[in-house]
Amino acid sequence: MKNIFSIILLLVVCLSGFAQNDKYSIGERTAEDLHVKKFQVTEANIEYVLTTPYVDTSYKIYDYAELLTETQRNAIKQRCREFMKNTGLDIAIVTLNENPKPSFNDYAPSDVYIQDFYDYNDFKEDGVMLIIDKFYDKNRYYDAGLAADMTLLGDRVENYADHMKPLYQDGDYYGEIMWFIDETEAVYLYEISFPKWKCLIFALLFAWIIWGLHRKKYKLVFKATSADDYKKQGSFKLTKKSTQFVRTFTTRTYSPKSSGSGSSGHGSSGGSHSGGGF
Amino acid sequence: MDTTVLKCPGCGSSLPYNAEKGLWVCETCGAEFSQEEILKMTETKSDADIDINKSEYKEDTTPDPDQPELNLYRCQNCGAEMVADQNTASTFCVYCGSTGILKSRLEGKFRPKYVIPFSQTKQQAIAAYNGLRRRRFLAPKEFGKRENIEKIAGVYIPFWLYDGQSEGYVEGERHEVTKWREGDYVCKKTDVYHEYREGMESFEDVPADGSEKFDDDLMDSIEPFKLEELVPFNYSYLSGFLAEKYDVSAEDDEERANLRMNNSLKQSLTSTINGTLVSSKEDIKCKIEYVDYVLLPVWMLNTFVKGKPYTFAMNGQTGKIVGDIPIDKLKSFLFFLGMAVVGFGIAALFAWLID
Repeated sequence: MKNIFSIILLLVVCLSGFAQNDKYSIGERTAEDLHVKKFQVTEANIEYVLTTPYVDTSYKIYDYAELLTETQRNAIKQRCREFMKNTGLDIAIVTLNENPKPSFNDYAPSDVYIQDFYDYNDFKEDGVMLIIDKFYDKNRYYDAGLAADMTLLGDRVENYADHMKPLYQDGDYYGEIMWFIDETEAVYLYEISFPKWKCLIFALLFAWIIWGLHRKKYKLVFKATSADDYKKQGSFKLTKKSTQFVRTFTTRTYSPKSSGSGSSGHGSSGGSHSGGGF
Repeated sequence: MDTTVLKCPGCGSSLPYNAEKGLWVCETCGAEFSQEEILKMTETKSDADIDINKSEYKEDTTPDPDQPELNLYRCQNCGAEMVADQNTASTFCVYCGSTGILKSRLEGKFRPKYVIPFSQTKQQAIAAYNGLRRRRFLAPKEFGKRENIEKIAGVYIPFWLYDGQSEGYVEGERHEVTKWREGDYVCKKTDVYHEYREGMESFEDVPADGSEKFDDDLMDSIEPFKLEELVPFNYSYLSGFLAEKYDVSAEDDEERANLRMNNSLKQSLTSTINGTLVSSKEDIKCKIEYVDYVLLPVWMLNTFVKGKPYTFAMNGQTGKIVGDIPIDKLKSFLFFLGMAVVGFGIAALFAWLID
């Protein structure tokens, strides 16, 4: 048992070397001090924890790929604060230009990374995150907690891709990030207010049905339209009966089961989460 | 014109039919007479013996085109004059309350073949009217109160009973739909079939009221009558009640019965199809084979609620009461509002639970 533990520890130390050493970090993760508050760390996910940078969550923008100017980073940081104030959700924006999880090639690395980055740092339980991954030429977004329950991003993958992809391809990363924040904020504010409308519509529908059913009790006069009560017993005779097949036709309607691409699935997070990308 | 007053052979007072007892009960001495006794009296004695007198009195009734035709009759009980329109066959003297049966109005082609005697009393009709309030809390508070009843009367209403046979066909397209999913696409396969059904069905005693005076839908709504309780017509059943003769002929009323029979055959034919027709056409015709003219018992009740008249009718045989019940607008609005609040509460609770 001791040997197994020693091997794991050695592996962990080796792997931790791959974790990005950057200006956003506020410390190193070690087997003794993993710096994970939100989730329980087990043998199954300890490697993921140790390869995830331990960052200062107040930065909000983690521009590892250096895609943005200092002014742009500050503007994004400011916008992120406004987003948090308006929505109550947390937010993290990450840019990458190297493989963040080189040892876990069984999953798309940025898929793994995005969850781990959000979940194993001290971001709020409810929040959203965007990764612009130049290494794999891929963008990923992720929502956690309440945002995931609402499938804030998961249900709108195509919409996000349609608007963000051209900006990404043009190298307008700042525009892409700002659009992501603006759109997510608008969608969240709409979603959060929508249940009230749903409740109101349900209430009116409910009242209308009950009211309508009750009002039926007041109308007792109806024109008689059938003579069912006066049928002569056994007098019905079916003299001719035919059923002929005429034609057949088939229609196909586009109706995607779920537009979100889902999480990477390695089980890093104990909370609800979903995501997508392009 | 003839008027008839059925009088007690003992004391000479009015002898109305008592629906509760199913007997003729003298209002003064309380003597009771069975159907057999009354029939015996009317069959064996002359009209004069049972005080069926001919009134020679008839006032000038030059018709006024703007007014319904009214005739004056002399009450054979107290001598007072009674007014009745041209279709009234039995009426009341407003002075002594005795029933004046206008016998001539129910003779010849107007003589009904059968009658169903009243089984429900006036008190039961009032109780049924009061009972309409139950579980109808949107009705104005004035509704259902005895003091707001303007008029209540037991009326024998003329009905035609049609026997007939409907025959014809129904045809149309029936769709059988199968759905499945192929990736992000929902596929729908529709098999179209042509269905044809032809047949016939017979009907007995389909009723249609033969009086313009009474609303057709109201009369339809008090059905069904237990027609097995029809008895041969006798004037004595009219004692204590109003009666009308028909003013819509069997031929003119036939269309209503035809429509009902044809609809029923259509339902019978379509019930043999496994599914619903999305487009259909039919050609069903009805042939009337036999018509009976009968008088059926109905309690008519007129009431005023907030100055607006409402008419209710109760089947004088089964006690089924019908009529459109007024709704208080304020109560209705408050009820809707209350239900909306409850609905909002349920939705909010549900949203909270799934959150």
